[in-house]
Amino acid sequence: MDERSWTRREIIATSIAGGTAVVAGLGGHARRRRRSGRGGEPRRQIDVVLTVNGADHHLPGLDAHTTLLDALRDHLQLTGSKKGCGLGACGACTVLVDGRRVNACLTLAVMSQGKAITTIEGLAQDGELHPLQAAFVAHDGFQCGYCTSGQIISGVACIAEGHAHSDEEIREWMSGNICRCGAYTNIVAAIRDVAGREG
Amino acid sequence: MVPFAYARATSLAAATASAARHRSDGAHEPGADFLAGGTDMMQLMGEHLRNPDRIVDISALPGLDRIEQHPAACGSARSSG
Repeated sequence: MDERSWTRREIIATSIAGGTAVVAGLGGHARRRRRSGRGGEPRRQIDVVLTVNGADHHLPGLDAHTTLLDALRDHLQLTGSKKGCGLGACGACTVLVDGRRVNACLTLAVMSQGKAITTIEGLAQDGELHPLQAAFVAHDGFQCGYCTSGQIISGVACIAEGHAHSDEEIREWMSGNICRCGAYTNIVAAIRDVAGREG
Repeated sequence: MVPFAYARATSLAAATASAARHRSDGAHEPGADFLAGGTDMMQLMGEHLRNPDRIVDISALPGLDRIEQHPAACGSARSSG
C-alpha cells in the first residue's frame, strides 16, 4: 500500500460510492413523501432517529424495510454487530433494546425508535473494557471471533437477568448464540466468572 | 427483502381497516400484512416467501403489546374467530 493502508471495508465503501452518486440523482421525488411513518399513511422512506449507546443518530429518508442490523452496520458504521445468518438463528447480531436481548436482523430500524439500543461498541467505558469483555479475553472465549460481539452482548443480559447461576443455566440462556468454532466451554467460563463476581 | 411501505397503527380499528383495504394472500397478492414481534414475518420476507406491499405495525397497540400466561386459561383456549 502507498501512503496509508486501506481496510477492506474502506475499499468496498469507496467503490460503491461511485455507483450510488448516479442513483441518488433519480431519487429526489421520494423525499417529499417521508416523515415518521407513525400513525399516518404508509411510507416507503422514513426519517428515523435511533438512540444508540446513548447518542441520537438521524437517518433521513431511510428505506422502511431496513433492518436494525443494516442501519447499524451500513448507515452508522457500527460494524461490531455481525450478520451471520440474517434469519435470527445464529445470534451474531444480538443487541440490547431497552435492556432486552434482540436479534437486530429480525427487527426493523423504524420500529426501534425511541428505545435505548446498546451495541458491543457501547460496552467499554472511558477506554476500559466491560468486565465481560475482559473475561472473554482472559478465558479465551473465542476462536475466529465472528460470534463474539453477540456472545458478549447476550452474556451481559444473561447475567443481568439472573440466568447465570450454573453452567447448565448459562448454556440454556445463551442457547440463542451459536459458536461454530465450538468455544462454548470458555464462553461459559467467562460468563460464570463475571456472574460470580457480581454475586 | 422486497421494499414495502410502513405505517404504525394507533388503534385496533385503524389496523384492521387498513389490512382489509389491502388484502394479501401472502405469496402472490402484494397487499398488507401485520407485523408485531417480527420473528416469523421478518424471516418470511427475508426469504421472499411473503412480499407485502404494506406493513401495518401493530407492536404499539395498547393492550396488544405483550403476551401473558394465565394459569386458568391453559388448556381451555378457544378460537374466537
